[in-house]
Amino acid sequence: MLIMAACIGYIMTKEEIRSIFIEEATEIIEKLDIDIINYEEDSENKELLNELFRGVHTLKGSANSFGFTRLGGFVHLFEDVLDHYRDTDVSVPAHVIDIFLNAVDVIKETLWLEVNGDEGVPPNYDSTLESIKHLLENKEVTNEFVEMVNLAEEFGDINTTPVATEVINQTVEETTKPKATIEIPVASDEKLLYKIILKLDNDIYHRGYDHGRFFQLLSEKGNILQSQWTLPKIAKIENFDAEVNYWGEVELYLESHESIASIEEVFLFVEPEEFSITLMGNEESAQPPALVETRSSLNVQTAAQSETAPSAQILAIEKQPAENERIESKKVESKTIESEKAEGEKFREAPDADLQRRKDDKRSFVKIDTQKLDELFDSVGEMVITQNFVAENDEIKNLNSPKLTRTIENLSKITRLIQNRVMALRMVPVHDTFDKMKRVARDASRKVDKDIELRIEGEETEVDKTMVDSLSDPLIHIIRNAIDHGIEATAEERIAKGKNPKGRVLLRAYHKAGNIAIEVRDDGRGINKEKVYAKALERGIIAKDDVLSDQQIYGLIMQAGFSTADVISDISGRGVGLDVVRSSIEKLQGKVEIDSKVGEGSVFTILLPLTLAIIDGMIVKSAGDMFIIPTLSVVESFIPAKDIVHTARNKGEFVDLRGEMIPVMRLNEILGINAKRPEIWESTLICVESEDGKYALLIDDLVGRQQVVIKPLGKALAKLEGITGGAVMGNGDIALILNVDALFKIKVN
Amino acid sequence: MRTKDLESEEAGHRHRYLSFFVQDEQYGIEISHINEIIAMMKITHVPRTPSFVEGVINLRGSIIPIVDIRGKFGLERKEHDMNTAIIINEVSGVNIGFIVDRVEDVLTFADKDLSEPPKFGSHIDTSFIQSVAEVGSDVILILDMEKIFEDDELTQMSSFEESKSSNKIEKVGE
Repeated sequence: MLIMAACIGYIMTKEEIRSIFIEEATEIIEKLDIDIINYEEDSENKELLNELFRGVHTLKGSANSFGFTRLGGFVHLFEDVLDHYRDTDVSVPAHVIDIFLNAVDVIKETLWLEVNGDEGVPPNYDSTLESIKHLLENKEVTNEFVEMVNLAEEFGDINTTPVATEVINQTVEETTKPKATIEIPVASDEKLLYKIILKLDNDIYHRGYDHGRFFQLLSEKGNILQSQWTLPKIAKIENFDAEVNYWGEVELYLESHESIASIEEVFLFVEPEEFSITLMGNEESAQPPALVETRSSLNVQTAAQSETAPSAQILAIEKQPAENERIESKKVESKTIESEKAEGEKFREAPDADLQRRKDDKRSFVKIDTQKLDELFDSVGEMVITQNFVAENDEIKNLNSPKLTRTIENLSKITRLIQNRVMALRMVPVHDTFDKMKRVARDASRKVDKDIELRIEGEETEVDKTMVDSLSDPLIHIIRNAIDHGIEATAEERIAKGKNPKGRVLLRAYHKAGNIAIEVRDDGRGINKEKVYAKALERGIIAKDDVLSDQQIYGLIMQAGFSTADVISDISGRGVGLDVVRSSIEKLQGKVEIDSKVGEGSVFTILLPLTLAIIDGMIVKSAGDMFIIPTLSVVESFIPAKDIVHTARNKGEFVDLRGEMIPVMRLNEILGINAKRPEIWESTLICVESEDGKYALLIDDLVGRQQVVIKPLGKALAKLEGITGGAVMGNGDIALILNVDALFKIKVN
Repeated sequence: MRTKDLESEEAGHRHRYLSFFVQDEQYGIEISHINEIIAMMKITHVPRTPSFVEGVINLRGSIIPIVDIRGKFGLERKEHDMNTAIIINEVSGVNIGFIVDRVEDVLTFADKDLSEPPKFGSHIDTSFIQSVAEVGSDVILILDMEKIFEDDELTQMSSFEESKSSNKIEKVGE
């Protein structure tokens, strides 16, 4: 990715490259967490380990290129451990998974130390490094090498090929993996020496070729001096498929009079990435031939090694797709776990095919600065307005031309299509955020020693990109809260209540009436309403004669400073941090609803607008100006009958709405637009729900309901109370968007 | 009136200024911060702002606050006419438009042409006058836009209420 970025066409500054590195590294590290957790759930799936390895490998590369040696060194050892486990059939034991997760934490912390240029290492650095080294020293030698050698010998065609020499070393390296030392043969007089690397795909036999065929064709062109066979992965004997090519790279040296073009003819029918031909240095050929003859064993090289294969004398390297493939495979990340698992199942027997597959169904992605999207969005908004002008223009209408009308209709259709598509660009599935929660749930359940199952549903639901980013923290809080305090302390307690001993937490995203709902549901003990109410009364958060709905009572636990340590749970303060949840969700124009049943569990529902850029609003008129009230806060609108309007001395005006006394606030007064006081029963009231309860906003007129694009009023007016932004209406006018919570506070103050 | 030195302005300490009139007084602002000059357009009033804040406009989809420079300078309001213009200026990275009576010219001054602002009292607050340039018999007051729109002055009217409810701000800021 770094390389690709540099190729885009302008020289990037160090800062830019650095920020790309940070962004990428963070992305990789997040994914490491997820991969480890997924692997723990599905330890059969070797592909997840491969994925993990690839991530760590990429990280190592970029960390080292930035001179981040603390990070690079750590990651390097971690990579070795992963490499070991992905090469064995042993599944990773639980305590090793813990070490892996610790390692990811250390990587995270080390990254930030490096990026900030701070000295030292994180507290767990050394201890985790020790555990990793320990793993490397103690790992059991498996017998797979024996199998490999045997299988290799069963490949009959190897023996029949006219190979002049085979360099085969009986070195079975595992951890340290020293560079393979292979002598490069020398061509005899007047002949050219070619180094040919064959990387035949695993379906090569189906295409009517095999290595033997190429060796035969090559020996027609010259003499094969030496060949080296790499066998990176091979299926166990019970899974072995005779029609699949398990050979990795085959490196051979050919001496020949022929030109490079003539040699290339041999490979006319295989893919360009499956072979590479290099003409070796001529000065070498002047020396007397010194052919190496060893024929008794097999050099087992790992993929990592072949990258560092001797290349000193190579003049030109052609078609070397290894690094590119790595980059590409990293990009194919948008798949759901299911498909990844399925893929893992399918390709466990033929690992090379996986890479090929990934390459084939690779979709290309472009990273775009959200600011550019916003600008595009603005321009499209303007286009819609301009298009409306044309459509509504009387002069054009008077032309009475059916053809023109049709064209304008078409134009408006296309404009809306573009608008919707631009809007869709901002939407991403909550999948990644939800995946992160698995680690959160695991850590939390370990900490309180409870057996918890986190189920995830609806992770394909799409929300606005900016919202996804700020959704993590509130979700972490709620999930921890559910595990810490929602679920019963012991399995016995659950069994006694007739529940499954394993605590269940459900994380679910779905669409609900034009909004997005994200729900965290636990089947724990629930919230004791009476105790919350009593506590709030004691703390002076509510007054004695306040009438609260159940919802409002539950909402109290999200009030700042509402410590409920002794109320809801016996462990520690449920409610700590929940006020942070509420405020961060409110920043996203959303709200949190809590529902609960004692003994059965609680549900925290985060309701969010579809996108941050757009809200569904009621358009109202007050003193000639247009305002927008977010529909999310609107309960109902009505024109009150005269007999339900009451004026209480010193307490203001109220309406009696089906027995509920609701205070009336005049919008024009709160905003100080004018001092007109029309009769309440001649005006329209909008009953809204604020954090301080319901009230009725008196307005002149209700114009309608519409989806509007929220625009900030700019930093200069950002602190303006009661107004969250503006929206450009269809006619180009601006309507201000009201914040009902802040309006209430203005009035009270 | 001095002619524009288009070529030489890059060399030495020469800067270009846009000059405009407010109440028969000529002012200048450095041109590098000006994004555009537009004719008067419909302004939406924003409640609970100081009186010199005219409101906001929709400039091709962006909402931009508009300040009447007359109000800011404590001058009397004037009916908008065909010369009235809005100068969209970038102040601390934010676009703000301000209404002037008439836009005049683009002038180039070297540092030596500029002198310290007068210290004596005038009918305007001198803190946002950066320097003074003399062009023939005319005096042009060069304005420091950063000073004029310092901080969040546009919401100053509600600032005392904010301090009252500072609890709430802390909570949100957490």
